[in-house]
Amino acid sequence: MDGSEAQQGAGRSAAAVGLCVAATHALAADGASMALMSAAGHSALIASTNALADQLYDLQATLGEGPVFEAFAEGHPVLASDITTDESRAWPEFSRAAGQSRARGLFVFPLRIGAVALGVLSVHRTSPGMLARHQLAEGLRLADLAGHLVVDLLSALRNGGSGAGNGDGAARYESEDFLSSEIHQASGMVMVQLGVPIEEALARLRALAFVQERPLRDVARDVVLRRLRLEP
Amino acid sequence: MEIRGDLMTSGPADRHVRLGQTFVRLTDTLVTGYDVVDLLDGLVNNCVELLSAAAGGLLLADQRGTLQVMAASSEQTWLLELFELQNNEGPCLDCYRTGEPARVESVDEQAARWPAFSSRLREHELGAVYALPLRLGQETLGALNLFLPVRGTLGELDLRIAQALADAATIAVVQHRAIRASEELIEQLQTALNSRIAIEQAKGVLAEYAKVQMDAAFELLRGYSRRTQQPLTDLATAIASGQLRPAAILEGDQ
Repeated sequence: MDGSEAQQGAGRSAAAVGLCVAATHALAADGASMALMSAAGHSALIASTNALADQLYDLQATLGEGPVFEAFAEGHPVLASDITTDESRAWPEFSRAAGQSRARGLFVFPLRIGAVALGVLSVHRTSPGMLARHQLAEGLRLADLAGHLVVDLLSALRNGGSGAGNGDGAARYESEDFLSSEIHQASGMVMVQLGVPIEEALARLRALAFVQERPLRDVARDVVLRRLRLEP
Repeated sequence: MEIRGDLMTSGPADRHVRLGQTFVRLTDTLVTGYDVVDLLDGLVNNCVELLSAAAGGLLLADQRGTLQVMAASSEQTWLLELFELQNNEGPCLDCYRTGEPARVESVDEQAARWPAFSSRLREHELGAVYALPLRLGQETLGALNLFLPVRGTLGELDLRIAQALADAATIAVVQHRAIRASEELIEQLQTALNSRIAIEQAKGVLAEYAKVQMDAAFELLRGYSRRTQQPLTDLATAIASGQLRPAAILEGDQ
């Protein structure tokens, strides 16, 4: 994988590109991309490591079918050891068209935090084969990270400024326990307190944790125990 | 939380009937379609009741190897924390790693093997602990965890019943389709774990809106799910995504 290709993504979120690069290495792959998607059918590529990753995304967006749509809609990873030959899949047109490209293995992870569906992380290989168990585990972990990163990016866009996620790259999400029930409970509580969508509530919690220099989990616990309330 | 010191709350014939009913209900649900979190919630509660346990929970391992609570006999924070603790030490971790049932009935042995976990058990007046594996071939997906009140124990028949319920839980989670490859299993587990997150989000919404504790919020959710015949996960997703207002949940609860 070429470092200069990743540089082309610098205009987009550097953290998102960095995460795609990490995914490429972790899954012993040849490239990766991240796209935002909505239930209404809109999608936008926000990071990619090379032209093939761009091409795979464009192909699916044009055809309106493919692993990214399946992963996003179904809410679980779509893992294809060879997109050109697997006939029992829900994307025959894409499968045919993909034969024209160099891509063979494609592994798409939905970016999801409970009720919030944000987009997908796609990782491709130019040779067929399935992910090893530890690579799948890494893919899932990076998809978790990506979900939180996207939440912060979207919050920054909505609030017209630098959100807590900017500048530090994806490293700031490493130490958090994404599956802590308190973080999700607190998100729900803040959703009501501020009257904002739940992903925005999560972003506000993280911004507060950043400002207070405390782990997100501790801030969430304070909210759940009603020691802390967020006001509009 | 109610702790039953007297294990002889019903005769053997009565328990036979209840056991039979539990499995009939389970089979019906598995055949006709179900919400996995809801089913596991019912299963855990049935198990705790049948075996006169003080509390119980069902944990699934995610791909990172962390044991996540999928269902618990109570949504009170102290119990959920007791499960979370077991990612560091405790019967569930041992059971998950070995694929074998884990049981420690002696307080001294608990203290020796799991010091932090053991002191929490004492704090909440719990005695014997058990963990039954959720097995799928060579894999262990998680564990069914049971806490008995002080002086309570499970006999061999009780343990066989508990294991049968754990096996039913495995079926519910993997949907017992012909799993083509382990990727499909992973996909199923991911979906189940994400469903649980949606439920935690919805609990937060309801707890704040109705000004109640998390376990009461869960009861509101579950009650509404049953009254309106909506799957628990779908309902939780609707609330957390803003499609369904929390007021609607409370209106029905008169």
